[in-house]
Amino acid sequence: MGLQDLIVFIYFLLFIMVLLWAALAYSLIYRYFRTKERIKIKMKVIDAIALRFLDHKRATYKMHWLRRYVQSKRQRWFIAGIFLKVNNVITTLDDTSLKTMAADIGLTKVLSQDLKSLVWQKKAKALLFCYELGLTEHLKTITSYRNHSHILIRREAQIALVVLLGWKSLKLFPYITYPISLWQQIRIIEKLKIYHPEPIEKFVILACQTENPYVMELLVRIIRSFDLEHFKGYSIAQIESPELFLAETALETLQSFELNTLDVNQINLSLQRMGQSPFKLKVDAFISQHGNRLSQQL
Amino acid sequence: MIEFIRYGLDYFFFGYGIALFLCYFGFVLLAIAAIKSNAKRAEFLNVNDIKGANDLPSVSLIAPAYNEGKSIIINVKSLLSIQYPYYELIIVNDGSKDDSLEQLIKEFSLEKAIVPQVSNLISHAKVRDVYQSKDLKYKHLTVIDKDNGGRADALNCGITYANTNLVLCTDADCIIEQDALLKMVRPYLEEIDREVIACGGAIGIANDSIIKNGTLKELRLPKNIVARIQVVEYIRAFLLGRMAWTQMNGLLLVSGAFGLYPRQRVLEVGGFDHATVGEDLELCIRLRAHMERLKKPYDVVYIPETLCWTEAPASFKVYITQRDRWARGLWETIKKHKYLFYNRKYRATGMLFFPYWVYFELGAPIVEFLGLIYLIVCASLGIINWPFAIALFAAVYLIGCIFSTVSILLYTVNFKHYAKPSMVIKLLLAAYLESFVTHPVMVFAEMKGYFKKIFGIKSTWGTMSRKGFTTIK
Repeated sequence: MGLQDLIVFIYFLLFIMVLLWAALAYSLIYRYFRTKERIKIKMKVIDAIALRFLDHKRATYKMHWLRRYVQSKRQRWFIAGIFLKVNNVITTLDDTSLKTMAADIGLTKVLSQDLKSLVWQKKAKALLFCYELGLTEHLKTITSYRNHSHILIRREAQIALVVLLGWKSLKLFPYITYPISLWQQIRIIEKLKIYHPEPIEKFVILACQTENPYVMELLVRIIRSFDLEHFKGYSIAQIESPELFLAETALETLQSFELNTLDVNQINLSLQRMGQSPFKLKVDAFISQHGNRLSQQL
Repeated sequence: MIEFIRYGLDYFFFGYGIALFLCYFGFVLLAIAAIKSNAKRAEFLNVNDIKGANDLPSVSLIAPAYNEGKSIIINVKSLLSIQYPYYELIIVNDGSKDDSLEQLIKEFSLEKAIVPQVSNLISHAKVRDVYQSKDLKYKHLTVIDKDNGGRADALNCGITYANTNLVLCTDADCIIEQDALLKMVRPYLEEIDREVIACGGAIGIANDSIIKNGTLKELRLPKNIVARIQVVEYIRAFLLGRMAWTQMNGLLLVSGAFGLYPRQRVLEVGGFDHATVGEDLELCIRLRAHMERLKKPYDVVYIPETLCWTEAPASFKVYITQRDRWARGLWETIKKHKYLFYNRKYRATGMLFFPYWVYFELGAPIVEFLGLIYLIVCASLGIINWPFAIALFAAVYLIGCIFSTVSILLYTVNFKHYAKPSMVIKLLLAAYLESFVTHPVMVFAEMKGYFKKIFGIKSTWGTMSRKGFTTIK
């Protein structure tokens, strides 16, 4: 490389530098105007939603510009996000009004298209929107995504099934082959508590057929959260699991129940079968704590 | 023969430089992918949802304090105000000689308490007393007063008292964002088939910023040029470097100022190493090696958002002390874990990530220093083609500036902290001055650290005098 080549290279580097400065300036200007525009849209959408609840006729007039925004790919998800936020905050007598409004402005239609999109992010967002607004018409498509290879798609699909089908959805869980993250388990229990607070035990029994340790962990958490004392035995059985996370969750669950002599004996039997490990010490401590309590009661 | 050596050296320096620039270029691409993927995933795990959730993993926040009397109260208040439903704060007073403990006792109505140690798997200096507050408002606060044993020892002590799933190791002089823990637990909530063994968050510099009630009220750029250049340095290191390594799952360092670990794994490997001043890097490498030996899949992740703010050295003296210590820590850690070097048993950690650290993190200051000596020798022998050398310097300088500009651009696009045009311009100017102001000093400090290690000169942690944050009531 000669001096001349090096000088050409320096010019090239300077050109890149100028491009970066331009990109920086553009990003600052773009952010300024986008923030301004988004605040404006947010106010207008909330205004339109409020008007819809108060004065249906006047609100219909307001829908035209909202429809236009929904068609714009750039703003669609932003508006959907506002709908979800409002849905999480406001409770109205007519719980389908927001869903109807979303349908009226064409939001539901475009999101249905996104449900079949090849882009995982669009698909997962559409699933999120479906269950937050209770769009049961897409149940078939949602069910087909429950074992999708993309973690976020199957996560949102599984949550959607729980929200839309309630406890009945648990009968599909033995067919779930992928692991379930802690966050998904938390969300599923949260949604069950909000939308379906009354447990239906026959579906829990069906779900117990699963061999997936992550689904088992979810079931143990459900047993604890809904205080399903009949299923105490299921939790005891998981203490011996080779999967430490499942065994630990089972032990935590058992701590929330009153145990009888039979339960303690069962745990004792499991303990004898366990190899030496820090978890065994935990179980041992748990048994001696409960043993003491039981002998005091007797 | 001389000609042969000269050409050999020329090609060595040229090859090294090209390899380093190619790595950095790769980092830019990987960092962009990592930041994008992180942002997309964050859309599906809102911090507000985490805030109200049950069954979250519990977290112990462990903050060692040594002579932090100037800012201990404001910092503990900041740590107490963190939003997380299941957390406890453990302040470890590491034998401070100032009135830190007295201030804490007075401010938080502390009284001596009998708190059992949860684990005795790791050793630490003698604990004098454990304090808890009489005031219910501060029921999550535990203060451990112990003999001085250094930062690693204090953290180990805190870990043995922690009774939670995760431990967050930080410093008592850090300002942590209110929602930092909610963001930091995200990888642990989302983990499925790979266990997250460490999680770090980006650290920002808050010199001259306004702190109110222990939280960052207004972020300002440091007035001092040394501190301001470090803002760029931190942005580049965290946004480009660490995010790129996260994307490859090759991260070997989670900063000591802000790192979240599963308590059980830290206990298994024996906690932080007392014998090194680079205890954060050492622990992360040891955790990785441990998981490789267990043959269990794992992840070390980084959150690109700035979640923790600290005060950077504002004088060359303190800056040299800090970088000298970092260099010694790096040397000690590399030496301790030299068995990893091209060891197939440790897969990518041994074959790729550790060698990178040897060649480009440990090696870079040495190569740079040798290059400088070579330049001086060549100049004194009159065998330098000056026009070419100057043009080469300009090109290398510009490449460095481009990497800094890219990191500032990425930060501006993704985060709001430095959104004002005036701030961006000041950051760019600081970035372009770095090569002339702090970089030569940094190379000197690193060589000083290596020199101490090579010749066995005893050296300690070093005094880090601080001005303290600007606080308003």
